[in-house]
Amino acid sequence: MPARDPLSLPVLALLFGGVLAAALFVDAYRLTIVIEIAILVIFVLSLDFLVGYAGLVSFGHAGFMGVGAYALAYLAHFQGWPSGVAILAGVACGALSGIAIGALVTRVSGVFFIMVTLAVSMMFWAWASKARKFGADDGLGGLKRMDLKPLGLDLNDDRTFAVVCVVLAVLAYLLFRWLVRSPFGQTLKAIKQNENRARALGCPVQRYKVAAFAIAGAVAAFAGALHLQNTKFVHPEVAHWIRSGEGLIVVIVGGAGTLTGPVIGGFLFVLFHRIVESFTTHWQIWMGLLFVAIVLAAPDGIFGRLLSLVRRKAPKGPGDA
Amino acid sequence: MELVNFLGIQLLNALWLSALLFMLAVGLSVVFGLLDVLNLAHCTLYMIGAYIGFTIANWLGSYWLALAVAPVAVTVVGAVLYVALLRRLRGNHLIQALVTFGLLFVGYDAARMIWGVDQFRMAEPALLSGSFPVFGQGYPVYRLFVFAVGLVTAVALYLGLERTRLGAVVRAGVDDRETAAVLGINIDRAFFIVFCIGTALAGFAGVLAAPIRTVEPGMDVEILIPALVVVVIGGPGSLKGAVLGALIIGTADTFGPVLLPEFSSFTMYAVMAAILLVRPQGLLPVKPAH
Amino acid sequence: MLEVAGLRKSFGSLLVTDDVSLSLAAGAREAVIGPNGAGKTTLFNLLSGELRPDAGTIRLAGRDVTRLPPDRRVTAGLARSFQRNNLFLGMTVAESLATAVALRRGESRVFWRPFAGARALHERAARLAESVGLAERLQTDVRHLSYGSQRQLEIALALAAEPRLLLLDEPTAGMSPEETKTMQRLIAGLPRDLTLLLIEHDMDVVFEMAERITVLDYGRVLVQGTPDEIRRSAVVKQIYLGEAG
Repeated sequence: MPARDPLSLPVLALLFGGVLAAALFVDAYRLTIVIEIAILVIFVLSLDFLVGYAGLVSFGHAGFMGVGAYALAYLAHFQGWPSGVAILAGVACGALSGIAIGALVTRVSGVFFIMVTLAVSMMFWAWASKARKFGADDGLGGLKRMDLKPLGLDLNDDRTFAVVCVVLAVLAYLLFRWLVRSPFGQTLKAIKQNENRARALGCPVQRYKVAAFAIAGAVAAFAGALHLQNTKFVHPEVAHWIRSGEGLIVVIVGGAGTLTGPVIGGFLFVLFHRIVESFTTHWQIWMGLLFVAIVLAAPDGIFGRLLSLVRRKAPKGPGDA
Repeated sequence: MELVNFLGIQLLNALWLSALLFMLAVGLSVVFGLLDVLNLAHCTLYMIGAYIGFTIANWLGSYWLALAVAPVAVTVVGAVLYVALLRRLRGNHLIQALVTFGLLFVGYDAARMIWGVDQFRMAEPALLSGSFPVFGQGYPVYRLFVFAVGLVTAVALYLGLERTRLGAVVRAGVDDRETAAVLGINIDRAFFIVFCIGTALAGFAGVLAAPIRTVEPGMDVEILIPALVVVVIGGPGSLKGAVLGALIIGTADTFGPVLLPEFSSFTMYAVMAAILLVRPQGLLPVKPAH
Repeated sequence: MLEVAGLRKSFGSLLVTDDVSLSLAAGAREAVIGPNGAGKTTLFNLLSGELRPDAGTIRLAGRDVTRLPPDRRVTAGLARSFQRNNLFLGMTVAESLATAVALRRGESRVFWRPFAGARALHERAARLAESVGLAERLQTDVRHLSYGSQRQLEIALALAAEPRLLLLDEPTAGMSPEETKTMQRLIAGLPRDLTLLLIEHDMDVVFEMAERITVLDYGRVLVQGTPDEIRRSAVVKQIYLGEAG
């Protein structure tokens, strides 16, 4: 983690606090925004773990969302498993497919990696859009949310569901913060910064990359399951390249390699989407142009740019670590 | 006999698809291998070619005019893109990938803005609208034409590579000014020309595809993925690799859904995964791996 | 400690390592010299596992490591420094070294404790920094270190792996005379039981450090011998020293 970072705490407190307050008080339409932000934040945090910490720029991360969502749909809807267990199983599937896909894609690097991750995720999409059991490209509706009545929570109430989602997003943030600050996370950073040197220090680089894929895959699968819980509907679109691309856009625009950046990015993205959408149906062109502009002007993202501004203004004192 | 006819037809289908994939992948591949520019928006240019071709054919009623003009228009778009954006990003793959990825969104929505979300199909030229009796049924002449064009393109590119000085630069993968100067080539101009050729081929392929595949927003990504797979398995920068990769993927993508309908377009990816496991640099890499 | 027999490697038609054999006893300090393009760095890359040889064997402390990937060779006791600084540019000196120590101690897999609080790692990192003269620089960003200090960190990282055999690829490359002296003292002060093999262009350093010298030319071993023998060798004078003088 950036050692000299006075910004993260206030920014995160503001964003998470704001979203949580919104979850408690806003109207039904705005609740959908809150839920969307929370789920997107979980997804992009997992992607940032791959991109910003392990240096694995995956163009197909939504494939894992698909795995989580379809595993949940299959187990809960067709096999009759309790939703909670099915979600956990979906997460396990995400981790396992992370290992399998990680083992394949980390054999290649650079542009090959970009192309192969894109292709592999579209493979899932191609399967899903032909899978008649799941309604092929019409999707499958009528799925149920988890039953948490024993805990006194009615998830079918959107407000409760929104609060739960926001709490889960905060937990996802804490999980990744904990991971990236550990020796394991430090080793991933070392691999990202200089893979060759890490190997020359005795690091079995590929194993670490696969582990990163497993973790990111599991959390993204969880986001996918949550997405299904939100819409009660499973559709191949959940794994489409557009979703992977949006995730990557959020991570890069927010600031890859920081955990605060993607949270900011996820928040802004959903708001931007909803606001522009209310003026024009052609919101993707604006998002694409804005994204290109930000990548060119501030490759380290909004939060990265903010951080370097703050650091330049307040040069580090002696003993400041 | 039934089976032979059936497989024969599928084989013909595989051939025209391979030809189309080749024309797209070769630009993607050489531009990446030589110029070190990864242009994910390459297939957006293909889509633009298809739309412009369709529009011209619709207004003026001439397929041939569309086939001649649309690639030029696409090349202009590509040239602007190159000069304004891509040239500055040479060498930074991540930024290139991200920027061109953003352009995919822009292209997708721009197509929706201009042409709407309707699906179009361009009429075949009268000359090629008939069908050709083969394997016990009539096979559209136009599809054979697409294959023939692909074949001619491959041969022309091969000769261009072998016989011209520009080709020598590409073959040698020359990317430094000094060597290029020895060959008497202005390297910046050479790169620009190579990029334009790749772009023109993408536009050309777009028009060729317009009577076979539907013209719609999103047709770019639909073919981007197989084209990327072709580049990956063929080996970036390699003309022969693009030919071989296109044939493999064209075949896999045609026969897969027929033989294993349950797994449909899965076959293409399975083939890619298998090839990458054995040869991570692709089948015919330009620079041998250490 | 190191037994290399019949090592061979070619890139296309270019033979860059041609039947090279070497033998280093435990605690030996030897050097590989030769003109530019003689295949010295390729030899190191073969030894450290970044390249696979076409033929020949490499044994480390009696164990055949010819087919092991680089990271496994490090575990087997072989570490290297690089000719061009090859560092973690986004970390501080302390972080880089502690990361290297964690890798050495198998603690890099630990995900349940914070890295910054791993006292043992950071203490060891501080001692390593001290041993190469970077004690004052622990909290400095690696990218802000002077070139000479980066070279020192390069060595400290290799030492963090606690090797039995250390390959030093031109440790004084690009250094000022002063920095070279510091580096020379640093190398001379390394523990005596550590086996050293170095590539070096600075002949003063070579003749002072090395007990034996191997001269490479066009990938072949031209001569092997003590510094005195090498000084006297006519072939070497002609091909290598002659070129310098």
